Amino acid sequence: MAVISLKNVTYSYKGAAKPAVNSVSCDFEAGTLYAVVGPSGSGKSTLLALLAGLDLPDEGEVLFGGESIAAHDLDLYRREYISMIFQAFRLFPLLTALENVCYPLELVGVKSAEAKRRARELLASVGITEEEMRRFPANLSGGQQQRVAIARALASGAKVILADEPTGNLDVENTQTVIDILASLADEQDYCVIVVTHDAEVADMTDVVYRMKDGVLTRER
Amino acid sequence: MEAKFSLRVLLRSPIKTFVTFLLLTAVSAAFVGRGAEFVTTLRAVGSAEGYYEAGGTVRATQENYESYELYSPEFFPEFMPLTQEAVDAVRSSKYVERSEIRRTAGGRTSDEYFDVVEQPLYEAATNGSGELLGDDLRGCAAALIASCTDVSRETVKHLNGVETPGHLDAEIRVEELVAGMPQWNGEGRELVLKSFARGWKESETWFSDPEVSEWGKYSVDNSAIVDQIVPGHRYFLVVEAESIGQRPASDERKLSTKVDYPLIDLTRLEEEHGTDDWRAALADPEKYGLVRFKGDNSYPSTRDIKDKQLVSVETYMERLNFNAHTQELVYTGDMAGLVRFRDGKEYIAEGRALEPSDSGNVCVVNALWAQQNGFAVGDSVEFTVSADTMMHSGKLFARRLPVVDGYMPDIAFLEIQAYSDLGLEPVKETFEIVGLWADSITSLRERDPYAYPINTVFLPEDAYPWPDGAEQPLMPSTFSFTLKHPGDAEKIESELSQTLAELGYGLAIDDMGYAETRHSLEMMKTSALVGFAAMSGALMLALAVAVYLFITRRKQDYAVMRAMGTSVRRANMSLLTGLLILAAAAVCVGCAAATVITRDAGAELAARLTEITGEDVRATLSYPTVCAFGAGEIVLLMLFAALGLRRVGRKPPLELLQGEK
Repeated sequence: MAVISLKNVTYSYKGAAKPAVNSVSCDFEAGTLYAVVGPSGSGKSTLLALLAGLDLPDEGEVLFGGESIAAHDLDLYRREYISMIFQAFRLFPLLTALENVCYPLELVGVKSAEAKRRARELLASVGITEEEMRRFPANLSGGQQQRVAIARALASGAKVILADEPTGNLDVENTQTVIDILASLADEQDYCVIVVTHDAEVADMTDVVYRMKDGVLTRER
Repeated sequence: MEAKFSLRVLLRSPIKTFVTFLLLTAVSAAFVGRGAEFVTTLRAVGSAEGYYEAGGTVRATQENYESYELYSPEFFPEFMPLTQEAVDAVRSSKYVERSEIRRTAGGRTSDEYFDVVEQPLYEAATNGSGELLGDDLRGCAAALIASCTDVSRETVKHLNGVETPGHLDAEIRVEELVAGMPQWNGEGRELVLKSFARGWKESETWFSDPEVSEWGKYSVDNSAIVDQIVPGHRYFLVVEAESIGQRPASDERKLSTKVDYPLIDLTRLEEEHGTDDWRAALADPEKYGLVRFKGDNSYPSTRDIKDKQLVSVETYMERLNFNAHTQELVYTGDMAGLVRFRDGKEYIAEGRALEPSDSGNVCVVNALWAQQNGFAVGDSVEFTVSADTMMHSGKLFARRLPVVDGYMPDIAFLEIQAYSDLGLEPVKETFEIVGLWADSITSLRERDPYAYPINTVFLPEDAYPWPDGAEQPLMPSTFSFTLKHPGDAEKIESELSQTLAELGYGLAIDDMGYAETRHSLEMMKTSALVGFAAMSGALMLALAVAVYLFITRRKQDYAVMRAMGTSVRRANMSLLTGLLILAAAAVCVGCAAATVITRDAGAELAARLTEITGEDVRATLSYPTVCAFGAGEIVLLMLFAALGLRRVGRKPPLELLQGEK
């Protein structure tokens, strides 16, 4: 059964001649690692943002668990049901790696001490050492930052992870590490992981590949 | 969580935080300092302006005096009656805050009340002074006075062809007068009876008259008058005194060159109030003594006896008869409008003041008088009221204009017979006491000359005992008005001058010198405003910079928070809390700095205002004002932040994230 679905979703940016996402429909299931590939400006990141509830489509619906997310509190939806990983990591620069991961936990009401404990576990699970946990993002490598971002995404407990070019700023080794982590989340922990990428090698490592072109989504594999 | 997040961000960007703190502190100090100074200036200038009060009355112009020959208009146009039309014109002006028609007349209570009231004065006056047996002295002096009056009036008539107020010098050694008084022990005393001539000094006719050799040195021999004293006739003494040193006029200088002892001039005393003059005498009873005599059923005359000791107050007390007023009755439609009450010099100690709606037999009496006579609010008291006694007693009818003395023309001596010719009889009326008034200065000696004597009774305007149907002239001094603002003097002049001129009147307005100081006061306010405005601008800039650094520049964090599901409110608080804490600290330090920097500003301001106004103006920078400006600064910061956050908060997270790409 689809965890999250798009039904005839269309979305246009203000002043744009063409819609960024044009009447897209598709289903995403748990336990699957998806890739959405396509050239820059094809609308794949916008598609991901609509799945994340960062905005509502102009037309169509985004369904989560069979219900339109528009009928619910989008803040709550993003907080508890969706996790995002960004290309530029988007960690809070003035918080340590540990504090960055604590943030979503405390946001949902976990006590500070418990949040730290769980954050440590999560960071350790993605290979961040205790010493690295105390560093600020600027003092971490790109791969370390992205792993921290993954740990942060996992912290909220959401079973849908939306990753926007998560390996875009990483070298080959770190790219492989990140993809391995995401794949294991899908395979072993039944996560629904959707990765937007323009890297064919990354796409090859996923279970399902969609191609986005001029706002239109087609299943490639 | 928001506070923790915010504080972490604050502390982990120390340079930005410190620079912002310094900026906010500096601007706070300047803004709060200037703001407090501005408010203090406004208050102090307002307070200084409060010293000024513009008001006045309506005076007849020379053009309309023909119809009022009774008032000797060629000499006293100021005293020609007003028409109701002129009064109404003034009252209709939008610049007039309040106005009143007020008449002051003499009245009396029964002797028992009066005696009790004046007992302290009596005791003070007689304490340590020699006791004269009244009959002899009274008889001698009264005869002398009568003589001088006649002589002077005759002479003046002769000189000018009209009955002009004025007297001739008449000096006689009292030793001569009292020589025939067996009870008088004149040993060690030097008494001089002197009446000082005060003619119409500006009159060329006076000085050109061949019978007057030199003004002020015209003497008559009154010794024969002593023989005319009728033993057993009833006379009474009025005690009045004034130190000659208090008189600025040149007359005293002339007189003082003629005598080598303290001299008291009774023509001057004609203008003053008996009780006030008593105070002067009581202050130095060993040095001054003065009696004024008046015969039965005669109009008051101007005479004096000077003694080195105060004498005959007791006689005055004993002999005061029906002809003398023992109460000053002030008929007023608006007691609270009287300047002395408005200034707080006199106040209502119990009960209430008379109000414009009051009518009938209600009154407000002096608290001390009431206490001494056993009266309280709600009691009834009987007064013999009159419409004209004050005129007859020689008191200037308008002596207590509810405006400053500057409105009054320079009248040295005046007798107006108009009201006496109306033949109004005093009537007895019973009044209910609805209030007690008191003087804020309890010491008799410290009370100023314009204080209402304790025998003053305030009555409603319609209690004025005027015969039904008889024309009731409005003397200028009975009508007065005050302006809403002292700066309105010119405006009302231009508004009413033409209307009043057509009626034969003009406005007499005194703004107490406000016009001269207005520019300086305005400049002070403008200067303070400019400084404050400049600092307000600097504050706006600084707050904008702070908001930019701590909110606008942190839109990336905001976007991520929103993308992670943080609500708008919590995201706002995460950004705002740190800035507010920083600003609060900066404002506190800034306020303290402003207090230190401007600690002398209040004193300097007060000194400048005191110099400008001549009044003791106080100006202090108040801590609540400083705090209010500090709080205002925080509020302003929150407003700026709210505006900034409102812009980002309304955007969907997707737009925020893309904007940060």
